[in-house]
Amino acid sequence: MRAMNLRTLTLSAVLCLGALSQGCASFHMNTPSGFAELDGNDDFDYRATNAEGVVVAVRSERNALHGNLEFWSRAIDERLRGQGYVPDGDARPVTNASGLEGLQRRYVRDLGGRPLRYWITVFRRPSGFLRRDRVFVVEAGGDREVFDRAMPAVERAIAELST
Amino acid sequence: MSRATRSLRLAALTATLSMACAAGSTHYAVSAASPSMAAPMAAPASMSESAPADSDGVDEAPAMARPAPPSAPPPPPAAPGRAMPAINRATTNTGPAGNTGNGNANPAQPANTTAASPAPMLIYTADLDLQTAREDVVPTIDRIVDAATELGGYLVRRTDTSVQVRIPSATFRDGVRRVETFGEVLHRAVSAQDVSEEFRDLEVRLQNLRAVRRRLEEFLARAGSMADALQVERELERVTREIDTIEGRMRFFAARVAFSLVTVNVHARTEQAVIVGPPIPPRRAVELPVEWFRRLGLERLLNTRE
Repeated sequence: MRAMNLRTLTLSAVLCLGALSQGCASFHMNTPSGFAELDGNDDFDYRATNAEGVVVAVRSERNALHGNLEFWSRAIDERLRGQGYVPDGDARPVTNASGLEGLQRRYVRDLGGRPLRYWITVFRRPSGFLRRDRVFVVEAGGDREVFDRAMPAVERAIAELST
Repeated sequence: MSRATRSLRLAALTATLSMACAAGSTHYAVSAASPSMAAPMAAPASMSESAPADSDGVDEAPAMARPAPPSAPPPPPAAPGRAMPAINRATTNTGPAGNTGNGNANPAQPANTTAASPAPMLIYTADLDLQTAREDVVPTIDRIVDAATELGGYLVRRTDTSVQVRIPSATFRDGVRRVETFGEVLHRAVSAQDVSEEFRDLEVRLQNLRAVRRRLEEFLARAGSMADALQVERELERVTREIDTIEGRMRFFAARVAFSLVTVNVHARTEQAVIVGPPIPPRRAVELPVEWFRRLGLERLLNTRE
């Protein structure tokens, strides 16, 4: 009986550590008002859309390169510019609900003759006790007109992201 | 001596002299070394008094274009340490650039003197291509002419885009350098033609012909008949013409040596052409070994079917 208890205890501890480890990769995103959460896509850890096609999505990725916030923001910016995204202002500092500082870049781009907006916000959470170095990437985009209307909800959702 | 014998000797002498004159042989050069030839050797004093007119008629040197006096031998540009003793030699002995006029020419050693002074007699020419702004082409040519005049030279030829000037060989190097400052030098070519050998040959031929002329004059004085006198007279005319030709040729060389020719072509700078090439490709996108990094963008974000 005692051996069984010990085994159960060990297993519980391992599961707990694993849960803690996995839990560190988690985040919480409040679905903006007027948006519905989308499931079943491997690219994103969270994605939601409103009825007009404005989409907000979050990726939680391991920072395998151990790049800092500036690195990831600049690297993403370079890549997007190379793909034809036009910057709409400079990088903006943002802070999420967990107090994590991030950088937000905004772009415009024409797709099929339609002007679109695209925001990308990067948070980097350094490694810590039972936590891996992670990068949280929040993307938001949609037709310019409808996006502008949903802009307050999107900004609020980003600010309320807890990591 | 009978008249027939004298005629025969006269014919033989004139034939021999003619052959010698034509060939400029050393035999008569040696003969010219006799003291009796001192006067002929000093004779070309008149050559120093004549202007260095170009025999090709291309350019006419003004008064300032006289060959340099013996006291100012022009140094060759390529070898500044070596003056142009060829001019001196010609000046001292029989040269057309001038004469000492004191009769100190040494007729006893005309050939030896030449051999003892190895300094070359060089004709310098410079060809330059300058580039200036379009509106500066004519002013640049004006400046080149002014510079040549200041150096003691003179204008030879001028067009809208080129100019030829002659400047004293003594100032050749400075002149070329000054011209080079008037624009951007696209091309430069400086050459020196050594005419020492030809000039020396002319000297020897001149000495020989003068010796012949003197003998003919002596023979003319002793001519016994009108026929002999006429025959000697004709020969004398021919020798004199040949002497004049050689003297002219030597004056030409002296003038060329004393004044270097500088030809400058002035090119207008062409307007900077706008080169329209293929558009510059967009900057290479950064690639990172991170999968999600390649999936960013509107296409995947807005594809809500998946």
